[in-house]
Amino acid sequence: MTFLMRVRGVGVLLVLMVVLVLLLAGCGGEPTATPTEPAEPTEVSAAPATATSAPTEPPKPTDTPTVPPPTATPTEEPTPVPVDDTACVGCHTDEETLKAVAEEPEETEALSEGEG
Amino acid sequence: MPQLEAWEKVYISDETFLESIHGQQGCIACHGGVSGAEEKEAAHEGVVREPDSVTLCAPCHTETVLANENSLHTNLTGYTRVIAARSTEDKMPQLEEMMENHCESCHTSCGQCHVSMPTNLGGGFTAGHEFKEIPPMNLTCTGCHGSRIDDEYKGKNDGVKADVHWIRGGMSCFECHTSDEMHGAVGEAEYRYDGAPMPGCQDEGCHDSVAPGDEISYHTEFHFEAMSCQVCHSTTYKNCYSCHVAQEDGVAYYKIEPSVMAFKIGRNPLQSEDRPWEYVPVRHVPIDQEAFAYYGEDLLPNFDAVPTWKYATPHNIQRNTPQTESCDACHGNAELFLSADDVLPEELEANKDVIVEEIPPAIGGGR
Repeated sequence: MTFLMRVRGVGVLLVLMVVLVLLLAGCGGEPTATPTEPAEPTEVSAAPATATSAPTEPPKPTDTPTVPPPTATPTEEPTPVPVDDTACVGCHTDEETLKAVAEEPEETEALSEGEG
Repeated sequence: MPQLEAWEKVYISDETFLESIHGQQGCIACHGGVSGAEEKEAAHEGVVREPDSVTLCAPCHTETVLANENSLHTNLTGYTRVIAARSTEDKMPQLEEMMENHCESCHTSCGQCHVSMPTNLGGGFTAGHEFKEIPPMNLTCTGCHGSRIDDEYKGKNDGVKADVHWIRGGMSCFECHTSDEMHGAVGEAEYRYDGAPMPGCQDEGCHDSVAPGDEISYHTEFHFEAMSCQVCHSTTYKNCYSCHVAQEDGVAYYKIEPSVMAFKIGRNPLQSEDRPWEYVPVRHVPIDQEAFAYYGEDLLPNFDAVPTWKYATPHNIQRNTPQTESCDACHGNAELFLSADDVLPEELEANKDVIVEEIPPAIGGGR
C-alpha cells in the first residue's frame, strides 16, 4: 500500500466520522422551543382603491393557532389526610373496654301503658 | 323484647366485619368522629349514630335507596294521610308536632333494618355491625309489629293457633313481604292496602290453583266474589281502643286501653277493582277522638271521615276455622258480623259504611 493510498484511507475515515457526528447530533433531543406569545392578528387596513387596479378582497387575518394559556406552576392533588380508625376499632372490638367506658342511659320511668 | 346493654349495642363482636366491603369504608367515613383521638369524649365529637342513608347508601344501592322514598316504612304516608283526613289544615301544625314526637321513631332507615334494631326498640347491632341483606325478622319486623302481627302469627294469643304459614311452613316475613314491597320498588302507595293485594293469596307459586270449581265445597264463584280469603281462613285477632299520647318532661308516651280479642266481618271499606269483595274482616284501630288532645283541642274535627273499624288481613291463617265448620257457622250467625251494637256510640257515624245491616240468612246446610 502506497503512502498516497494510506492518506486517502485516513481522509475517507475522517469524512465518515464527520457524517456520523452530524447524524448523531440530528438524533438528539428536541430543541427547546422558547414559548412565544401568539402573534396578534395583523390588522389590515383596506388600501385605497386605485383606478388602475381591480378591487381586491382585503386579506383575511390569519388564523392563529390556539395555544393553551401558559400554565402556572403545576398544581398537585391535595394529599388526603389519612383517617385513623385504629382507636375506634380498638375500642369497639374490645368487650372489656366497652363495658368499662359504656354509660347506661338514665333509667326513665316507663310512662307508656298498654300494648304498643 | 329484652333491651341490649349499652356496650352491647355498639360492640363489633366479629372482626371479620372490618374486612367486609362495608367495614372497609372505615368508621369515620360513615359515622364521623375525630380521627386519632384517644379519649372517648374527644373521639366521639360529632359522631352520627345513624348515618344518612341517602348520602352513604345511595352511591352503591342507588335504585333501592331512590325507590325507598315510596316505602310507607320510610315516609309514614299511611299515617299522615289518615290523620289529615280526620282533621283540617289549620290543625296540622299541632298534629305534625305530635307525629314528630310519637311517630318518627317508628320511621325506619336502611340501617334500622339491615344493621341494627329500630330506634324505637332501643337500637343496637343485630349482629355485631354486620350488614344483613335479609334483616333478622324477630329483631326488626316483629320487634315493631309485635302486639298484633307477631302474636297472631306465632300463636301467642291464648287459645288461638299460630298461622299455618308459620307453624307448618316456618315462613319468615320476607317470604311473603318481598324486598321490592319493603323498599317501595313496586311504586308509590298512600296506605298499606293501596293497590292490588300484596302478597296475594293466589299469586303464582302460592295458592295459584285455588279457584271456583277446585272441588273445595265452599270455593264457589259467589264466595270468591263476595269475600276476601281471610273471611273464612282467619280467626280471632286483637282489636285496640283509645290510645292517647302525651309528653312528660320531654319524654313521649302513650296510654292505651287493654286490647279486645274478636273476629268481625264488616263491609269492605276499601272496595275497589283490586279488592272487590263485599265482606272482609275488620279490626278496630287504637284511634280515639281525644287521642291527640295533649297537643290541642278538637284536633280531629272530621273524625267521622274514616272508619275506626278497618280493613284487616289477620296473620293467623288456618285451613279450618270456626267459619268453615258449616254453612250456618256464618250464615245467620250475627255474632260474626260487625253490627251497630259492636260499635261505640260516638263512632257509629264513622263506621256507618262498614256495619253489616243485614246478615246473610241461615240456610240450614252443612258442607
